[in-house]
Amino acid sequence: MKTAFLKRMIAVMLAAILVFSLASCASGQPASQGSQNSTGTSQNGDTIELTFWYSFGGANQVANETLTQQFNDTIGKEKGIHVTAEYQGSYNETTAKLQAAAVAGTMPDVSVVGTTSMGIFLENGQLAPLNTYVERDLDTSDFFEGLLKNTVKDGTWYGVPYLCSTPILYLNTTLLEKAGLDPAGPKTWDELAEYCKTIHDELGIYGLSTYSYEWFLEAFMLEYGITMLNEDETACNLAAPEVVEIMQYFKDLKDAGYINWAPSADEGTGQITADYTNQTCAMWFSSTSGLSTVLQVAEENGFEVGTCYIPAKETYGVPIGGCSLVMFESVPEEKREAAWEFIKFMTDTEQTAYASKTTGYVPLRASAEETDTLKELYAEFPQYKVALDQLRDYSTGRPLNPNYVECSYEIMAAMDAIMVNDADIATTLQQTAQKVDAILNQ
Amino acid sequence: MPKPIRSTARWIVSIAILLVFFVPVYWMFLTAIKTLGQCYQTPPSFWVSSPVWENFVNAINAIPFWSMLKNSIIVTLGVLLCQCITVIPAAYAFARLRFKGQNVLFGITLATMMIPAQLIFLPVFLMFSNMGLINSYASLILPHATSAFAIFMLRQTFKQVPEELIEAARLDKASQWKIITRVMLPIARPTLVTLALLTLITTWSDYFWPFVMTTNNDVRTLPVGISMLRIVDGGVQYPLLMAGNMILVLPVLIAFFVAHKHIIKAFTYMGDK
Repeated sequence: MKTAFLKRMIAVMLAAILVFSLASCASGQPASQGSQNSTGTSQNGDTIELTFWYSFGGANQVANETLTQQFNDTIGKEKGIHVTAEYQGSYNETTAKLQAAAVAGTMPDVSVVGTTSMGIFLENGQLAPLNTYVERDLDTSDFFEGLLKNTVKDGTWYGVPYLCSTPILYLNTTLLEKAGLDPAGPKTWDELAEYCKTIHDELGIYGLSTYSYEWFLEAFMLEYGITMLNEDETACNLAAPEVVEIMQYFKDLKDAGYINWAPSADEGTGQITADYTNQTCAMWFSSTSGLSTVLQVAEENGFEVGTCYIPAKETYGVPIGGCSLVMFESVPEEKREAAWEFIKFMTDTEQTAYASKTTGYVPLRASAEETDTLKELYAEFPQYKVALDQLRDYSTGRPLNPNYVECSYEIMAAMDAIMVNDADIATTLQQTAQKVDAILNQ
Repeated sequence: MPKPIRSTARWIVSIAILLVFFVPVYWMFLTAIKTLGQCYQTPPSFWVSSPVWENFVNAINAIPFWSMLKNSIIVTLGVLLCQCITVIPAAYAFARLRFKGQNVLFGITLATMMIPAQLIFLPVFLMFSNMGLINSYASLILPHATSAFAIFMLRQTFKQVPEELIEAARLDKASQWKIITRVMLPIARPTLVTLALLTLITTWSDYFWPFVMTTNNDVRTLPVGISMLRIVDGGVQYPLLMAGNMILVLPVLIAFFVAHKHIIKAFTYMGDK
């Protein structure tokens, strides 16, 4: 009796194993092999198969998939290259997946890498230097200078800027006019404070709605003429008197009820989105990449939107966020030329103009301004042009220290402590600076 | 307590519980048919006079919906099938057979319930990539091919079957396999339906595993697709996201309504003992 039972069990097990081996065979089609083969030769006939990883759904997905398709249909067809674009979540998730893939030996050939993650891959020596190709094929002066600070280290190109954005100040111009203010927006910190006060007094709403975000603080510090980290990124400038002044400035505005300051949880974007949608604030800081969403909401809720530079203190200045395109060291020699062709195409003038229009990111090249795509866009929505001007004239890179991502949580916690929980400004910044310095040198 | 007051109190409690479970689903549905501007409005409105049904179409078109739906069905059915094959004999063996090391094995089985997926995904990922199984259905099905919780639940039910029934079957020269299929499973039906439903819900809605085990969309399931609506740079389109979520939970809701009688039976049956 027991043996009969055993026999049946074995039969069932064998059937199960068969089912699995079939299932894994069925899905082991060429399409899924592409990404597993970046070290092997995946050249069937003459076509070179490349895998390209990108981040984010929505508009980013549309831009990445469309441009990849365009490449395959044009240059790819001509030169025998086929690229498969594959979605990998947010920037941080993409970084995590790349690290796992590096251990497993399943790296893609080309990938987007978020600005603050560049340092991680640089430190591990995983990025292929691109100088040979860049010097041969690119007019580097066409790229906006600030953009290159995220991708060029000590004269070596480790990537090409791709989808980049900066913070800008968004304005509900309908409300500004109602409060009797110039809808062009404030130009200096003093004017910003005046705007906030006037809007509050005239309309009974917040002048500005914002939240704890280290990217914004980097911008404020640039406007004071200092940077978040020192030159060799071994220490931070958080304890500098300028930062105390910055936080005091916003704390005073908040205590007077002129501005709304949300904690960093969930990036605080929910609070400012609710504020501007319901017109309980007239100005807010946000990334240029949100502009198309803002325009959509504004149209539905019946108000006009304008944009202007983040107001100046000593100077204007914004840090560039977003991502770069990189090629990995794991890409075999015979595929590198093809991978470069793809990177070159994706960052070329027409393509960056298209990506800028689709996503709200800033174009990478001065020549893009002359394309019909952007001329038409700027004619209809001059709000997009502001981001471009600010980028060209006043932008710079972000820290590349691989531990900076971890530091950013400390910085946001300090901003929360000061703005939301009324902690002492100087002490908090002093303590945070020590923590950040320790993390930077880990 | 007088009767009318008691029944009123029961009504109030029932309605409160209903609200707790119903409102989030209603809110999700409501957001799914709002415009982007409406969904951020305060005070929020609990009624939409001109629903935007296009949100559903747009959500489907924004992601590789149909291929991911197909993958979800394959993976969910695959996991259900595998669990039937592994869980039923295991539960029977632990409940009704006597063998060496039984308690130790059962202890090990239960201990696996305490290990979260986040702890083991990296070694599993590396193992699968060595085997060339990344981006295959096997990588999504195999790790969930059995369930310690289901073995435990089913073992409890099997233990409650009166010994006389099994003795009677044995006297009729029924094999072990016949005892399982003809005696145990019919009695355990409510438990089986409940377990199947729980497996269906966890597999169908699992995001983490299908996301970390894949690098392209070949075998990715629907939750990864819905996350594409959430993980965007520069303003989440909540109406699209919620429309996607509505589509995602619909099969689970249907399965629940089909099976809910069995579920109630499974729990009352155990309660009676």
